[in-house]
Amino acid sequence: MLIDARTLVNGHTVEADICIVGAGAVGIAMALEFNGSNKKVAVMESGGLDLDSRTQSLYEGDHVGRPTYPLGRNRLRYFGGTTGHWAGHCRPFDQFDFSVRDWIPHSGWPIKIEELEPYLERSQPILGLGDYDYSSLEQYAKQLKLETLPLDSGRLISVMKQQSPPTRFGTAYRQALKESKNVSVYLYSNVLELITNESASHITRAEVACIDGPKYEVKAKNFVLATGGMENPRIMLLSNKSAPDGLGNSHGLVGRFYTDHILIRPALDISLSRKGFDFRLYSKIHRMNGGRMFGILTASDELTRREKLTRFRFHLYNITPSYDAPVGGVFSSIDGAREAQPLTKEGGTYMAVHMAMEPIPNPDTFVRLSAKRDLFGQRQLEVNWQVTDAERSNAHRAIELCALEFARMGFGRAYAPMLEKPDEWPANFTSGKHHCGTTRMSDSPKTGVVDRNCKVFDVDNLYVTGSSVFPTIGHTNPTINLVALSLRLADHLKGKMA
Amino acid sequence: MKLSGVGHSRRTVLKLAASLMLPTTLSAFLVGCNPKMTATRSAAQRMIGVLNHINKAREIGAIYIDQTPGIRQLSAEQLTEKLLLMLALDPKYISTEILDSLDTRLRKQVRQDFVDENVQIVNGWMLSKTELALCALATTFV
Repeated sequence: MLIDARTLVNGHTVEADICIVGAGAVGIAMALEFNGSNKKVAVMESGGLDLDSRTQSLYEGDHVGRPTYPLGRNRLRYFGGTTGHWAGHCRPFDQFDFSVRDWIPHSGWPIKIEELEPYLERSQPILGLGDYDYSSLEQYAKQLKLETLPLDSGRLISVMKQQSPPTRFGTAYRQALKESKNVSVYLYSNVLELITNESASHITRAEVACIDGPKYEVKAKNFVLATGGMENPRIMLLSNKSAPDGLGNSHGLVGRFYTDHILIRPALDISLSRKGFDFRLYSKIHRMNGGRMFGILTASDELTRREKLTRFRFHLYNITPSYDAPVGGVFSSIDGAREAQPLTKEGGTYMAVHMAMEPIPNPDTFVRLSAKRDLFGQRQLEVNWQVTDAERSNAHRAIELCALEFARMGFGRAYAPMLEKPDEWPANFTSGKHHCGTTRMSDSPKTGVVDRNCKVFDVDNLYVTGSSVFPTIGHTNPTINLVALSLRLADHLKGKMA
Repeated sequence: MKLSGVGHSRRTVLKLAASLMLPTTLSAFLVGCNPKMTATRSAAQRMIGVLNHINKAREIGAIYIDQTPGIRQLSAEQLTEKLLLMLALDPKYISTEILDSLDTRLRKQVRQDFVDENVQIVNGWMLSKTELALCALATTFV
């Protein structure tokens, strides 16, 4: 059921088997896993069914490192969470993402991709995706009478992404949760602090407050933080009555390793030297079995290993390029075209290439509590996002490789400010709004905040899920992966409470 | 209007004159040239002919020459010889067959440059060194 917590009386106590904090993709996916079970689940959602500015203001904070999107706007604080403005791109992590890469410090997940596979498959329908199939791009291309690019597979490869409608969790699953008998979603409920026993090893209750409304508490056997890559560590750091540095923070890792994809949009523009190749497999979204898909480019594992790179991906778009004077037409004959491409920016003479790149895990990038306070007097966050020279050189190399491939295939020539000035980030680089890594998963409390089951080390009933537990983030979008992790956690909790 | 005594329009005559212009100019260049020089010039012309939008190619060539000291000193003949060497050809032995194969050889070599990363950045554009030498030749060749 959906409960407007503003109608509760002050001092009210909610009792549950599981308290899930946050009703975004992760919290709702987990709650649905328990829907119809004999477990009583309380979901605490800060917002209501619609966005409101006062609740949204609780996300305000500051960038103290490289500035990127304002904290008050890069996430949505209401029922359904940030899926309310999610683009819907999905592709699972792969084995390479989970492996220890000796050229990337702090890389490697404590679990194998095989452990996540069944949950990735189960995440597909939740996200409105088609068959659990990310390897049939060639087959779909044939069906569509399109072709994959003739790439040198030792450099770049074409892979498939699926496109969610995108599923807006707040509307898609509202009815199911409204009708649930054992799952209660408490709207307008802000978890201010998790209260523990004296040794900070067990959560006894959560303190909850409504803006201009009652304060109440939730007592549960297990607590799950599902509030995203920034708020998960914030709640842990704010919960400092028994643990002065915050929950699970005995090694100072809560909030550290904050990471996000590095985006350059466009990273390069291709001035096409010939007509004839139909890029729509990549630049448009197509139907597939039960869903929709499109092609992207990424580095082959072989290249990534050989050149000791982080992972990156390229999306192709038919959008006006950033260069002024195209050159592709000069090389039309060299590239085997029957007629020269015009030296104008007409449709069909260009292709924009956007890049998303995996960052290197960095303990010096972090989120932490600032001196500023929110409506409840709770300390806001400050975010220190940094990019390193190693990442810049990785980005430059990725752009070079893409430029080389388009020319080698005889499709045109690439323009990119970063080709000219490899020592400078281009003006259009930014982050992906994929906040990750702040409560990273590890087999040791010395190197992570949660264990392989997403349980906070040293706290026996506190779990954290979502992108904050990702130790590394590959090139792909996080949503399907974080939903899968949540389903896996739900199974773990079912086993624990059985 | 017909020109007296000749069954051609003014336009046809102008076209004819224009079409005669290039060979005539070329012949003027070739007068007094030795056979090797003639072959080199023919090779240069054949190679430049692979480029489209010749004025734009010359612009690119000018920038490339400006930013590449090793190229700046070279004459059109030296650039042609350099290009022929890039195509693994001996500039001393340019046969008709070789002249006929230049287009294909250039295409292959440019493709290979992008495999071997034999490239240079010119105003933010990644171009192969072979095609840049070709643009430089287009700029230098008169």
